[in-house]
Amino acid sequence: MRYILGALMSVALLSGCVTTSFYTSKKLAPETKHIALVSPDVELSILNAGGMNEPQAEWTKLAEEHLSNSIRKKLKTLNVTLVDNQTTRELQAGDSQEVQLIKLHQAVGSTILEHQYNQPFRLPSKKGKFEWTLGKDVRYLKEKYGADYALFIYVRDSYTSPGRATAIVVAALFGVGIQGGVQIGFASLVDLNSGDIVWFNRLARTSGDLRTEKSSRETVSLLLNNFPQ
Amino acid sequence: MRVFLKCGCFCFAAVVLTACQMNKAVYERPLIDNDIILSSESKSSTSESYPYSIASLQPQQRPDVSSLEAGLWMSVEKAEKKSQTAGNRVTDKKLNDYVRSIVCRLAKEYCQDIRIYIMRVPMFNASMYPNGMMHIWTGLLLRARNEAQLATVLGHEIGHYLRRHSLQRFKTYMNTSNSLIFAQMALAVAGAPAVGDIMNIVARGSLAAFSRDHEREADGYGLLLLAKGGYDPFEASKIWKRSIREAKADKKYSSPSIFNSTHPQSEERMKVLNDLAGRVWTDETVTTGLDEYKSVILPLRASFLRDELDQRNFSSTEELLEILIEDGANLSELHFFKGEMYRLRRKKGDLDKALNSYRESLALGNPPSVVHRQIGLALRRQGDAQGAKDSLKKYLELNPDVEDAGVIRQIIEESEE
Repeated sequence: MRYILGALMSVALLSGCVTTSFYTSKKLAPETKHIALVSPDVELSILNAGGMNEPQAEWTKLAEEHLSNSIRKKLKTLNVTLVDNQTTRELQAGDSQEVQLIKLHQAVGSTILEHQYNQPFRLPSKKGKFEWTLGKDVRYLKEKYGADYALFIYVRDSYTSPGRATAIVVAALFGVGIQGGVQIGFASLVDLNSGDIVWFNRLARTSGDLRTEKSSRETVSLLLNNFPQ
Repeated sequence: MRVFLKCGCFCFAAVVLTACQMNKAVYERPLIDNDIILSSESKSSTSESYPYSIASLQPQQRPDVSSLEAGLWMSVEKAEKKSQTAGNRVTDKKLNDYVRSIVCRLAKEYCQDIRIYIMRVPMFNASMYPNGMMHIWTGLLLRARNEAQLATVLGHEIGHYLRRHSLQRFKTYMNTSNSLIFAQMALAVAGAPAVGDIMNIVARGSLAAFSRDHEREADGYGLLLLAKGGYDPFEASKIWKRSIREAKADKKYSSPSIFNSTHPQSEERMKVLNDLAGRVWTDETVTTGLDEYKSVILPLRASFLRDELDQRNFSSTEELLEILIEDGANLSELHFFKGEMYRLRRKKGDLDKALNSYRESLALGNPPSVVHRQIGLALRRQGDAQGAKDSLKKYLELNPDVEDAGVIRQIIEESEE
């Protein structure tokens, strides 16, 4: 996942927009709107003066709940049925096949960030098309949860420490820009019939807060921006 | 100028000498604190008096959720989830139970806090994560001669856990980088950015030294737990002796600079551990656990050796095989793999050497089932059609249902045309 973080950091903050999406289809099939939410991969940290991130367990725990709740609320307004909360939220310990699919998605997701969002690294074989798949093995999740799609969420949210803030101010006095805390991540929707990633949205900005449920809604509305209807 | 130089050399020697004394004290500390050996000076510190002492770590203790330690655990727990289903994890129950039993014998009341993951990686290493996840590489299992040697490394890793070295290191890195950024900015403003670069280098060096001291201390714990677990303490330095032999033979290996290296040099570790073992030694009966180790590891060793060969680092593999042959366990298998090493290396004369090794393996009476095929294919390359045919036929006769039977039959038929 460090790889993902690197890919996100390097390009995202240089580009202007907060979110950018890719689709294969802007519409979900009307009769199939059951979505399984895979437990969001979130981590909150404090960005220290020297640039090291200090992971925050307590904040992360809160953020996981807020994010999950806000996503559920948001999806309801989008006319989508989420399959049972409890079974999808946590991975079944020992269900290796499910974990392998999640790992596969991490690998594909980081490749998308690197090669789809990064113009110079576009793969010639894709010819500019958005065309990524996890393969048909994802049907395992379809059968397990009775869902048509799976939604994957990844967020890393860092907060500027007082020391970092001082460093930013001091450096700014001499005309040098130093990066403060950032909120970066992606949401990805996988068709559980074909394994294709039908929608992928990247979020990258220097604001946002996941520590309260209220402000997490704002992050979610950006994460699910352009969600196919 | 000459006088100056001489003085410089002398000072350097003096610095190195003091450094050696200091280094040794770091190895000794765990043993002194636990009253296993007596300090030459008065007891410098008790186990309660320094931060992150074991005395302040209860078994089954979890860090407070708002602490930095909890943050580190959280990050590592994500990695642990992946390790649980990693493709290269060795799930053999007998092996896992066995290694687990050694960890418990060493860690005692902390045994439940440590979770082992045996990973199929053909290198001499193990690693400890802050939350108690321990990775053990199969290359270590291949290289340790007996249970006590494996316990040396496991005890070292347990030492890292007990003293919370990861947390200490993370904090130090953070504090160093935090102070560095302001110092560098100040120096850049003062018009001396190069001094900032030098500070950067010095900081990197001191962090590496900090890490080396953790390794030394963990070595001390390894020896302590070895002695407390009833293992022969002299085995600790022996595993380093083996490792040094292999590294010296390795043409690709170059030892990292003393300045940047995160681990002390193997020679230092071997020597200090050997000296300390003499001081730890008592008249109580100790074990090396050779028979137990062999009964679990030998049935799996062929797969470890195959992975070792796949690295294609023949100079060190050749020396490793030499060491294992000197140990003398299942020689037939070892000579077969020596043959495999020559076959893959393909230097001048290696084909002959490979054939000799295969034949040696055969003569020793318990070769892997593919030895006749390897002899047959080697003879074929040498142009001995009849010899090749005989060996390949023998291979099919002994293994009628093997996967490659069709290919081998075709080779035999072609040679008969």
